[in-house]
Amino acid sequence: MNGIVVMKPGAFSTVQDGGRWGLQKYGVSPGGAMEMLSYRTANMLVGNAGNVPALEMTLLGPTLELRQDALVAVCGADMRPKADGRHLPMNRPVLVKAGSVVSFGASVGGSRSYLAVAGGFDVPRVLGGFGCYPAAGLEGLAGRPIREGDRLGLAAPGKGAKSFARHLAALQGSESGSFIAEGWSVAVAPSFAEDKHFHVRVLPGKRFSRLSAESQALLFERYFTVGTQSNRMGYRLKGPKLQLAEASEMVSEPVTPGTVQLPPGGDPIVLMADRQTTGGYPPVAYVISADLPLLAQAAPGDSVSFERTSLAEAERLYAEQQRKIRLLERMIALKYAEVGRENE
Amino acid sequence: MKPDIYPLGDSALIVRFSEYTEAESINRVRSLFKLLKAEPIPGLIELVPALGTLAVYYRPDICGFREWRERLLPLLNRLSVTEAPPANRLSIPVCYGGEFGPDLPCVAESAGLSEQEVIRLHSGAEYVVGMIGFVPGFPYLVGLPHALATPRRTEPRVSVPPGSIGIGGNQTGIYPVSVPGGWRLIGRTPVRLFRPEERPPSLLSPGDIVRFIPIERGQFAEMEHRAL
Repeated sequence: MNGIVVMKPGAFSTVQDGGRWGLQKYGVSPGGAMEMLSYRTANMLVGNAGNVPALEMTLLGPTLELRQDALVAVCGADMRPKADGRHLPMNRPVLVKAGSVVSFGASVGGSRSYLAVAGGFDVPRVLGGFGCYPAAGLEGLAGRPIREGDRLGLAAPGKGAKSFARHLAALQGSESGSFIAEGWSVAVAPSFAEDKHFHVRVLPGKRFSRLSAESQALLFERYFTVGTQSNRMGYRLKGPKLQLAEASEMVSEPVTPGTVQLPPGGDPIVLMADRQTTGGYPPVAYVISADLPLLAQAAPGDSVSFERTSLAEAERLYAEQQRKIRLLERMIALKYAEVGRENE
Repeated sequence: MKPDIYPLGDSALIVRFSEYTEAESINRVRSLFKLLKAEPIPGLIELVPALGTLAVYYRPDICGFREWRERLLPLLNRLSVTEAPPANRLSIPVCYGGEFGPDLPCVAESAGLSEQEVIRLHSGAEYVVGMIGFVPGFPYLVGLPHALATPRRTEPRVSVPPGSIGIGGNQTGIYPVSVPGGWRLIGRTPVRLFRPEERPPSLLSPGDIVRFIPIERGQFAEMEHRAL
């Protein structure tokens, strides 16, 4: 059909999916949505499987014109979304009518928000993934953020989503309006306060002990500010300079998202979704996986502090987070099943 | 060599065979990779061979680090009798010097050799791909003759032309795409190292054996033309 036309692109809006895995041995970064919890929840709310392409919006969102009816969901930072000037509720499925203009403003608390549509955004699949990877010129939409005038195609929604859309249309009845929102909503972690401080837990790395004693203490006692040069590749942190006890060359080693590296200048870098696959700077600590979604909501200028935790605790928190996602998935599936029965 | 197993955060670990890059540890990495592919441990997401190490990415809620270590140890014991899979051999044509190798003179000077001798040494060696990283398709090659080791530039170039052959410290490599880079550029290949439309997307894989074949400017132009 006619998709979605970009009227204003926002600060940095890219199509992302769950990441392209299995290719790090060829130097291809997995990429994918920076903030996985909101990305996955938005997709679940519109009946999509986990890895379907959605629009990742950063700091200031886009203005989009829908050329077709679409079942959508918005999760993540609150960018005060509106449809035709009216407040568009987040964290629930919403049927937006063709001709509506959906606009996102500046984020209030957090920095990243996800717009999922039933069926997903229809962009070319490159290297087994749909995500945008600008550093290597890889697709999403020609490997770049969206621009004014772009037309984003929408793939066909599944049966469940079509049924849900019909259910919402029926709720509207005789009222006119650009959208109909479901009455229920979900609470999506991470919750991030508007005070713009992000406290995350880390595991010390093998090279943590190479930090000077003073730096080891500083890492946990002081806060850092997310620098302006921070992006999907990594966050450059400004604050107390950290130092190794002795300078030493390190052979490049594979890395993970959340790796806290220490370059010679002393300002740590936290690697994020589009990181290079190997790093030559000493990795002194690792943000735990369960806290990555929280960190992904930090914006330049926000402050970050670190707390040391144990591997056992990190694994426990990860397992708990996965359990919560599965519960959410089941709850949404039940809602869809209910609607399916209604429509029979 | 007793391997070291340590976590990278909560969802990955490293099996490290040595602190130094060497062909023997590369073979052990390749053997372990082959064993783990054949008998995957539950929760395994991805394996990444690197210089003297194998990185394992996994779901910690399925098997945690401790369980991974328990399951890896018997496999590591089997490595001494496991043969590394046969390596692919590739020849990479390189046009050395001139506009393609702006740093060839300084590598020669630093080594106390003529440019011709640098070319002879570089192309005379056999290299092993230790790992692919930094950018898609970029090979870190082990086996650079010691005489040619040259420190990186203090200021990286803003953009290195794709196909450039570089020397960085005691490693040599090839830039597959245009990126900023600090290695010393000594030549260029018309061959594409990164092809996103193919599987695998990288011409080279960890463990491959590579030789460089010097070619003339004219041959370079012809090969480049044919590759399009």
